[in-house]
Amino acid sequence: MQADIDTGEQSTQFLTFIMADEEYGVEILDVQEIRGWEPCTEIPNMPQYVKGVINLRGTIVPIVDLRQKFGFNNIEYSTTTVVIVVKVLVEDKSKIMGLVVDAVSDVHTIAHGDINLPPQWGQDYGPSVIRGLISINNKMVVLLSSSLLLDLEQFQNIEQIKGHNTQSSIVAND
Amino acid sequence: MDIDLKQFQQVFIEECVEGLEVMETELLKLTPGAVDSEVINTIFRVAHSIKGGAGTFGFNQLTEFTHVAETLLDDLRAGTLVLTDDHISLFLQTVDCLREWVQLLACDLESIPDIVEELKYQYNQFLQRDMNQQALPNGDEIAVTDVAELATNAHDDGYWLINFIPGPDILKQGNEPRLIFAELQEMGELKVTPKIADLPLWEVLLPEDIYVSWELELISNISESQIKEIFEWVADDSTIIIIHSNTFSNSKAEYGNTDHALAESVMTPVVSKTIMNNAPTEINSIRVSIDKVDALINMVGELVITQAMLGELGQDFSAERLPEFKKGLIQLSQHTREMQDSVMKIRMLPIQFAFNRIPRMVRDLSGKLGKNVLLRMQGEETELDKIMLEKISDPIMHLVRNALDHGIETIGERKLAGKSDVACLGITAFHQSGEIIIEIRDDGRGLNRAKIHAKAIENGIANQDQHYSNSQIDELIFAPGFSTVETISDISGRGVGMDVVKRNIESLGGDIKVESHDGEGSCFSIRLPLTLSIMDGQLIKIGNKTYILPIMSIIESLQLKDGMVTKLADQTEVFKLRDEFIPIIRLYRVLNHETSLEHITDGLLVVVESGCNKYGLLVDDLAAQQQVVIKNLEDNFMKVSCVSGATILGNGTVALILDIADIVKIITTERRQMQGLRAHVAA
Amino acid sequence: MKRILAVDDSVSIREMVQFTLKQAGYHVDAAVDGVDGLEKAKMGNFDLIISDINMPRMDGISLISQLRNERAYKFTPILMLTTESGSDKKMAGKSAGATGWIVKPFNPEKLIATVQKVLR
Repeated sequence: MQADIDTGEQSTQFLTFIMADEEYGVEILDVQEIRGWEPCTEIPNMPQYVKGVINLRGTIVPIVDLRQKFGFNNIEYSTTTVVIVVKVLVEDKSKIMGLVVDAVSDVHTIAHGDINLPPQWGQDYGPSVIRGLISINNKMVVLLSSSLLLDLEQFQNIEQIKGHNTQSSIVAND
Repeated sequence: MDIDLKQFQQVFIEECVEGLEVMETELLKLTPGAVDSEVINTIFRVAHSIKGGAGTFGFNQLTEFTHVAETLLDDLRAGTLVLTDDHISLFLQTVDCLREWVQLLACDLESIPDIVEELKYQYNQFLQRDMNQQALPNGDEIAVTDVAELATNAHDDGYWLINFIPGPDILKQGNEPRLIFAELQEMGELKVTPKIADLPLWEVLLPEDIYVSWELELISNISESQIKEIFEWVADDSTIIIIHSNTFSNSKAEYGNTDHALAESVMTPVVSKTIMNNAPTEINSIRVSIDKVDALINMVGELVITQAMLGELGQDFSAERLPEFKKGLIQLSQHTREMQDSVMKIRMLPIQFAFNRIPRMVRDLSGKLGKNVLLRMQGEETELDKIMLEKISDPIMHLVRNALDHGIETIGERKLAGKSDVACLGITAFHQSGEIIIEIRDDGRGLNRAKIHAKAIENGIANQDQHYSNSQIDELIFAPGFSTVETISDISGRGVGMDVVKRNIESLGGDIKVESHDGEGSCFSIRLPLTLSIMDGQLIKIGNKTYILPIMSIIESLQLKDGMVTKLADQTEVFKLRDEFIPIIRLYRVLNHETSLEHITDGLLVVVESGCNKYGLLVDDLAAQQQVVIKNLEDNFMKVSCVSGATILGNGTVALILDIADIVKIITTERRQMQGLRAHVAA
Repeated sequence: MKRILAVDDSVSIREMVQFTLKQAGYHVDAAVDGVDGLEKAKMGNFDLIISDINMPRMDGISLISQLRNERAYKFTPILMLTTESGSDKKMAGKSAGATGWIVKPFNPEKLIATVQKVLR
């Protein structure tokens, strides 16, 4: 059921997008722009979902594949694959990051009252980034918190992964 | 008017901060006994200035305190007191106290530093005067007098007869009887009668002197003290006779008048405002010499001309104009480079700002530790970037502290070792091939290698069975978690400082080395790049990716031939370069990359220097060299290991700049772990 | 409009004096010490000079003496800014030819009132 704008309730506009046949949404105010996918410069020793960095009009912006991050199967990038460039305040500093998704869907105005709190998901989804659930046109949409998505604490795990990678490569001599 | 003064308060605060720096520098030049009048006068003026400003802005307690300091300084500069070491120490403590106080004022806080009372006491001891008898700033004095006058003259009013016989010179002092009369006239009814009976003959009359006197009749409810005030300036040189008679009754207006005068001369202290969160500890402005600004303006002018020229070419281009176009481009790149240099220079400040805390610390610490140290600083005018200056300040202080604490021996120890009583601590800064070198050299006992080695083994940083050369042992002090101090002295704290110092220097793109000779002393040398955000880069190819190495670290590059490479027992590959064996690092492995190389001899080896050591980085190929603007990854992402930053190449793509020190660190750690593993397996 | 020259080595005092007197409708120039003050006075045409006493290079008393040697400033009012409660500084100032003094600390009103005493 569509949220009613006229009731005067607190509401927010969300941009919804598709990943692995599921719909997700982020606050439209956090979205700086939407770009087509373009190759980026890889960063060594990063998990697979960190695709690399691109030059966004002079600023170095990291690109993260949300699909891979959330643990879905990889797909080939197609013409609908887009990068949603998100800009949020993380600990007083403004951070920009690009999220690779399958396709962009729509913009919806959602009343806060209609958002349901998420149940406890398993580890893969990283429960913290989910802000809530809502049903739009009989389809469930998972609303994500941009600031938590960009929160770098999650990337700290990288250290262990990277350490493992380099060790095995050093041992293997040519 | 409170609002009007506020805007200058910030200026006053900055002025105080600068003044206190000057005061400290000058104080350190003083030696007990003989007083250099230039020096003591400068110090006096600072205290005087701060007192004056404090009064103007209503900081009464500050005024009072600086007044005491100023009084002692006055006695010293007049010679009525002989300067002792205790005086100097008291003044230095005062500087510290005032620094703290000024910061509190900057935050609009009313509190004063705790030490103020104690220092006041010490001042009074020296001045041997009771605090209550201290002469207070004039404002209060007048107020007191006014009140007294008010009491006695309460019912004075009416008719005043004033005989004004001016001193002959008052005109030459700029005083004008006319103005005095005008003032009196404002107070009531005035009748002026000049007395010209005693005028000398025309021939002997000096035109610049006054010969006329006046009789003034004033009807007013003004008080005698007010009349005296109007004549205040000429009173000393003239004769003024004031007679009055009571014909009017006392009026409330008079009370009102003098009350107002009272209120005017006593400043009310600034009311405590809401506490501000950020104290302006760093002055965020730079003083730039006009020359630098002029040079920049000239350069912009040139750039505009070149741009216009290229613009015109673009409008009206033909193939035969190509050489002209190329020439224009060369000019453009030249101007851009020049302007870049110019702009960088604006942010450059003399390193003296980082050095200025050193003399004070040397003095304080050497006293505390019972050591006699002669400090010599050179190259203070060497310039470096403002940000770098701010960040290098603490590491330098730490190294100086270390030298004083650990390096330099006590007078007794030095005597025993046959050295001079006075130890020498030299701090030098200079430019060398596009970098800044800062050396901190002492002639103390040098690094205690046995102790360092033992501690390193104990902390698992060094390997018991491995042989370490002297310089390798020396490098161990920079390893994290290292400390040879049994008890944590409050002077240099834990030895963990060295690791932090190194990291701080590396984060600026520089490095630190140590050279030490047993019994003779040590020398720490810091190397810093001249600019923070632009560097000369060497593009390298690994697989199909382009990376960048800082040219500053590259010594040479070569192609390996069969037979040049040897494998060591721990699987490290080395090759011989003239007299040295240099370990090889296969970059594609560290970066987890595909490489197009089939054999090590297909690639190129880039020999780099990091810390004291050389390494050979294996790359697929070398590409161009270019100037690179460093953009950091942390802005939107995070610190990535092996990478110090990124840049945008001419073709718009991003290239990563490799952090050689980091790469070496990772390899070293891994190797150590591997050794540990092998040892474990073998055991 | 009357022209005033303010001489003081303290930036905050200079700024405050300039601001206050400009608001009161005077034209105000500033100098940082006695040498600077003398130069500016010679080049300009001032109706009043206000000077601090303790300054580097040339102090206020010397400045006043020098100014009195200049034809243009023989009779110009010169006011000393002083915190010295001792009268010897005042005496020295007067012997050098100072017109009068303003005692520090002063508030803007006092400054304007004193200036008006000599500039009517």
